Amino acid sequence: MKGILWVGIILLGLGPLVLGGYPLRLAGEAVAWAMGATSLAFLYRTTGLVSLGHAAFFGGGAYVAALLTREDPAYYFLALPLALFWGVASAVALGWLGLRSHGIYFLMLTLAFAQLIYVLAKQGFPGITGGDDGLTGIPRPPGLEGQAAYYLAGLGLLLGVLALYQAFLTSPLGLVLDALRLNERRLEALGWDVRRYKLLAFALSGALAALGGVWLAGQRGFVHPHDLAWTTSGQLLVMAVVGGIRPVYAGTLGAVVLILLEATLSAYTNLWNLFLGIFLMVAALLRLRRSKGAEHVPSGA
Amino acid sequence: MEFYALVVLNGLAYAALLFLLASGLSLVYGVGRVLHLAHGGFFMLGGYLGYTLYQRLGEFWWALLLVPFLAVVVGLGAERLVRLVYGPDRALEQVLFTFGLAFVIADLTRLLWGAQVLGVPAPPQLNRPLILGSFFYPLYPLFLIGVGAAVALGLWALLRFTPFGVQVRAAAGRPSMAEALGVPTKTVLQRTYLLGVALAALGGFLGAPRIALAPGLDFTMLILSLIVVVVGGLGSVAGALYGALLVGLADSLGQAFFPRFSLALVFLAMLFVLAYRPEGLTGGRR
Amino acid sequence: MRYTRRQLVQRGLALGMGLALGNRVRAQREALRIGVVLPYSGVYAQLGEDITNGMLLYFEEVKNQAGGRPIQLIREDETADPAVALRKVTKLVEQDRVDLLTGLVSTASAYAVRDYVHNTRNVLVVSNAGGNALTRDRKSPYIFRTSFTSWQVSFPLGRWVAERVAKRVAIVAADYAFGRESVAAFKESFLAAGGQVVDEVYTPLGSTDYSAAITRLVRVRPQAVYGFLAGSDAVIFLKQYAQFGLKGSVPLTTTGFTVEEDVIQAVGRDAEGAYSSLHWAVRLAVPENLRFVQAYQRRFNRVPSVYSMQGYDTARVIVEAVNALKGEVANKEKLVEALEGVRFRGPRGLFEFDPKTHQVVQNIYVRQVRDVGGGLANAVVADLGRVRDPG
Repeated sequence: MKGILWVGIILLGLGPLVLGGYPLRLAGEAVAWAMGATSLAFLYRTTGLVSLGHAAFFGGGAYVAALLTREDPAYYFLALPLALFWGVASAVALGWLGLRSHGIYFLMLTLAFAQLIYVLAKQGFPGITGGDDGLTGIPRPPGLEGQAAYYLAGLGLLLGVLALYQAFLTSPLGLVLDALRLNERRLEALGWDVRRYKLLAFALSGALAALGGVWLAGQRGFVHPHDLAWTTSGQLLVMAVVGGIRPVYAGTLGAVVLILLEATLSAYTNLWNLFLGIFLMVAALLRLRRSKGAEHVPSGA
Repeated sequence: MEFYALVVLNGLAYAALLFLLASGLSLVYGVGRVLHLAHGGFFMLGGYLGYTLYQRLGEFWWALLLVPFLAVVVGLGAERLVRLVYGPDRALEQVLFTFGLAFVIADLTRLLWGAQVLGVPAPPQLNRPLILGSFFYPLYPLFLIGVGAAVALGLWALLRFTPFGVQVRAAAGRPSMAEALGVPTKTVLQRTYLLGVALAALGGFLGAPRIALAPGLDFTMLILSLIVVVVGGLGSVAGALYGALLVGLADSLGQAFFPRFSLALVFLAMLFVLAYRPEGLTGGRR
Repeated sequence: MRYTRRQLVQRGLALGMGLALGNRVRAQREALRIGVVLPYSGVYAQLGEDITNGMLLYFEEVKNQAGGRPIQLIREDETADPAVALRKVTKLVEQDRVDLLTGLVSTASAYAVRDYVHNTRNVLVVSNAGGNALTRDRKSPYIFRTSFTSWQVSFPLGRWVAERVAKRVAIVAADYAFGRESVAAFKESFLAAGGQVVDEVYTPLGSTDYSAAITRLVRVRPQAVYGFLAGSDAVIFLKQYAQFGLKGSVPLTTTGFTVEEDVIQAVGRDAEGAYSSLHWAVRLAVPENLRFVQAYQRRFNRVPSVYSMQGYDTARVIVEAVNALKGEVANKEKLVEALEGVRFRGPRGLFEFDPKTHQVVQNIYVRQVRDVGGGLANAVVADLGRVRDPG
């Protein structure tokens, strides 16, 4: 059963290569967004925290890549680790500031953090970040200039990430985080340093989001302050939720669905925000109905 | 010297608008435990409804009087919907649902009023400056400060002295206990929601002569009101007041001295307050 | 085979008709597919609508034909997000296989799609985005612009203000690329004409309060103010400018968009007296414009804005170029050549492209918001002559 699922996924992944052109481009973007959405789903899955600030890591990673590779695509070898470092560092900073809060307060804190970075990039230092126009002319890594090659590389990267995620869940570390999500207090009472584990989850989440950002920058060829705005955070969250948030493939599924939805809906109506809004409301209600059942099913793989 | 006075007055006028918006948001959270992300939409809706009323009636003051009532009518419908996600520990669902509602309101507003920028002029009695020697300042923002203060006082009195106020405080503090003691929490919730919506819409129309009515206004104001409410402490009207003052003045000072970083300053302030007092200045409610 | 005379005539007629009909069938050619990328939702939605209406008006005037081919518009919403603009452009090119592209309101979106358009050799006729670089260091032979550059509409004003209004000026502008470019252009000619700038205030885009900026302006006691803000920012600024009592006492000079018809509608009297420079005015007294304004009002029940006019001229540019090629637009180099050669008298005056930059060369007018009997509108006060962007 599992095998068939994987085969199906691989076939689906190769589909855009066959279709080429516009679908391939959309798929290329979906890969980047999938990484971002997965990072958010990962955070929720492991710690129960909802973040509205992931654009700081996602967009931030994109900007790091943009700033370095504009000069020379060869700098990708430097841009990638630096972007990951940014993801980890800013996530840890945010986590350190915010882990005393829960729920709504934590949400607002993440929002404030991301908005701060957004505003600084947009208005504060336009000389460096290109301000309101963003930065264009961003190359792809050497050898991956073609859309098909870039997409394949991205897909491979995404699959690798998902495999790691899957492995992580059953690893000792993953089990600790599961326990943390289920009952933080008990875990703390048992002597675990809950805060440290949360920070770790945060750091991993930030790194993955930054990776997605780097990939997006290369795919589109430009970055824009919009990538750091709370609307991007919101979009990542919606993708994670739509994909189901718990499974490993949640972010990927959500990204694909949302990008397809946006591409098709906006061709028919310019009221597509209305439909998106209704869609969100329904999704929320469905989640509520589902959670009325048992939530405390211990998660395995 | 006059410059500083101007900066402070600007900040207070802005704070008044923010307070109108945030007090409702805080109350709704306090009683229903739901973060009503569609609140900015009601602010904007108030502005647009008032614009139409102003066009029809030709009089600012009549429009001002009628806006809250119209908003309550819309609010009745909205409350039925938002009711579905009341309750603690539902952050994710509430965010999704109220965001969705916000998008719906935004697009419906754009459908009804179009996308161009609309303006409402200040009433002629207030559309001129107050002149004290060499110091002059427009009357309208002073009027806003007055309204803000009056509303703050009114809310305080409402919560402190009226039976409704007692019910709200009970339902916000311990809902199950309040129910046991016979407080009709569902009705209290509904009334609080409508009050919040009316305040937001009032703020929207009062703000219209100072701000422009255009798509996007709802989310701009939402972000600001979220900052206010969280910094001040969710669920507390006093918190909304402190938060509004803080944000209004910070924004005004920022705009006067480092305009590039004024918004960054506000977010930074929010970060620090939350880092050291995770539940806002007044401690709020979980 | 031997035909009877009757059969001969019959066959002759059939052949003749076949030839004649065949010609008509061939003339009913494949539609000319024009990809239109404009904002139809979000903050700039009104501009998108105006530009589209202008285009539709012109296409209807030429019976929706260009080069013998029926015109087919494929519209996509650029929203206010450059990422979406790029996505839509790639869709139009790769999936809808459009013959050419047009639109783009936001400069950021134009920059975002520039490389793709250039690398895939697709022709793009930009009908609004005014950032200087698009026809300067980021220009492309395949990109044409029928609207304006920030330099083009602001540079001529500086000298005029120094000579006709005041020599001591304070400046206020929205803090973004276009705002800063406009100020730089204004200052270039203003300072050269002997003007003095006593203060420069930049406000964040999307501010809801300009009290601080206006207070700073008041402090330095300028003889006049040069301002550039757009959309909601302009509306709020103008209102507060009046509320602080500056409207009558300190003349306001701006770059046209700040007091365009859509803003005047929103602020009414608060805009009265403001000067502005722009490449058009609704009351510009050239016969083509009078005709255009009347036709637009009749068709859409609204007064056209400068964006409507840009859309109208863009449509004409496309039609005339395609006509010159008799509908054969597959060869992009020839299409570029045909576009370069387009020249006509339109609502803004003489329209032509600079072959070096593909930027329109046009007249810039100074207008003033006046009561023109029955309402406020921009009346033309001066014609500053032809202005060509230096590139």
